[in-house]
Amino acid sequence: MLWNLEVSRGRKFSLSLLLFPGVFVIAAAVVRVVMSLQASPSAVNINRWGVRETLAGIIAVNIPILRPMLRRSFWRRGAMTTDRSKTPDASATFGSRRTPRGWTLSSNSAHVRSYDPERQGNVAFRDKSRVVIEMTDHTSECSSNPSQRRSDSEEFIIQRPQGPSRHDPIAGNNGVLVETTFGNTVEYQHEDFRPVVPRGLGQEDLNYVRSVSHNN
Amino acid sequence: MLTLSTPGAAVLLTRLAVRARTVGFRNFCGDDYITVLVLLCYIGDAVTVDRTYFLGTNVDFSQEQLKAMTPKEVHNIVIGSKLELLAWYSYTLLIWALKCCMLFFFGRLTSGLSIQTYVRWLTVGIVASYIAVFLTISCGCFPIQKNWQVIPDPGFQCTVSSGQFKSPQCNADTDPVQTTDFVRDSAYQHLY
Repeated sequence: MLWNLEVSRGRKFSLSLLLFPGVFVIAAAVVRVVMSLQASPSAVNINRWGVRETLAGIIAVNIPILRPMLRRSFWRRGAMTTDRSKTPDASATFGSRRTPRGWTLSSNSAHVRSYDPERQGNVAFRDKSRVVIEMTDHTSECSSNPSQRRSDSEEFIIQRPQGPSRHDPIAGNNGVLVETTFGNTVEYQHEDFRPVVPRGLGQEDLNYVRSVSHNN
Repeated sequence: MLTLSTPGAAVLLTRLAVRARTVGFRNFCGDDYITVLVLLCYIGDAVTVDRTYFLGTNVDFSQEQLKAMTPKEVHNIVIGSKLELLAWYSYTLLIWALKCCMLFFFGRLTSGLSIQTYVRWLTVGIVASYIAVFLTISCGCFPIQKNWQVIPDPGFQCTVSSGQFKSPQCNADTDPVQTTDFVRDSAYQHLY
């Protein structure tokens, strides 16, 4: 399973290293069972393996959480930001800002709604339409309370590249702006990323949105 | 054994510090609170295991050895056996709390994805397995006083380790599921 992931070899190696404590936990548990069933069981040995098991378990569970320590901004003063120095330069293609690493423009759980600058929250698509995509740091934010996430969101605005458009439902539009916000009205499905299309938002825009999110 | 415990506690505290730094105390999620529980269980486990090492338990000695002992030594073994039983509870609670941490983490990773239903089923399985384990420890030896009975021999069911061999087994059952889930989760790619 690990080898089928589309990541580099080094990353696969470090992933398997991360998963190793999990395997060790299972092994330790099995050893413990065998110890308990032996002819003359010793509480000391059983406990010894138990302690090893818990230690390995703690490491296995907590290592993914410790990942932000590797970011430079973790050690700096002030509010923690995501390290943008490593992100691929998306600004050339996508406009004003880049997608920070570790954040996903959630292609899988994107909530897209049409957004009318004149009439805020209006779902109807007007001339200056925007696609609003939720951008969530899935690795650190609680998923239970979406309204709470709002304050922690980073605004993220992408302009659709200028140029003639094959299928432009929003004629005369300057381009689709993608911005992050945690308010949402339209939900995307995970499998095929085919959402309930907001009125005025065409398939092409969705494809574009998808390409943006996959480029991260 | 205490030397083994220090790095574990260090990892847990570091984790809490990292979370406080990245999301702040106010945005702590379920797994962060459970980490505190894990830490408490871990300390409890370390202390009880350390004590039983010095006191001895009813697992370790044959009846002939026990009969040769002074009442003071036997009394120590009784206390050691009680602590060993306590260690079983804290140990299993610790392991299952860790699983819970993982569930919260997976839940966060998969928020909005269809795999999240998988995480929910996993939650059901883990809660069920914990109940099973808890009952195994509590009811494996009846009446419960026999758990720390030294003389006469309380029997195989009640020498503390043997009656509860099912709990690590349950543990070994659910862990691979979680580990594979870890890999299967395509969202994991976003992490690294």
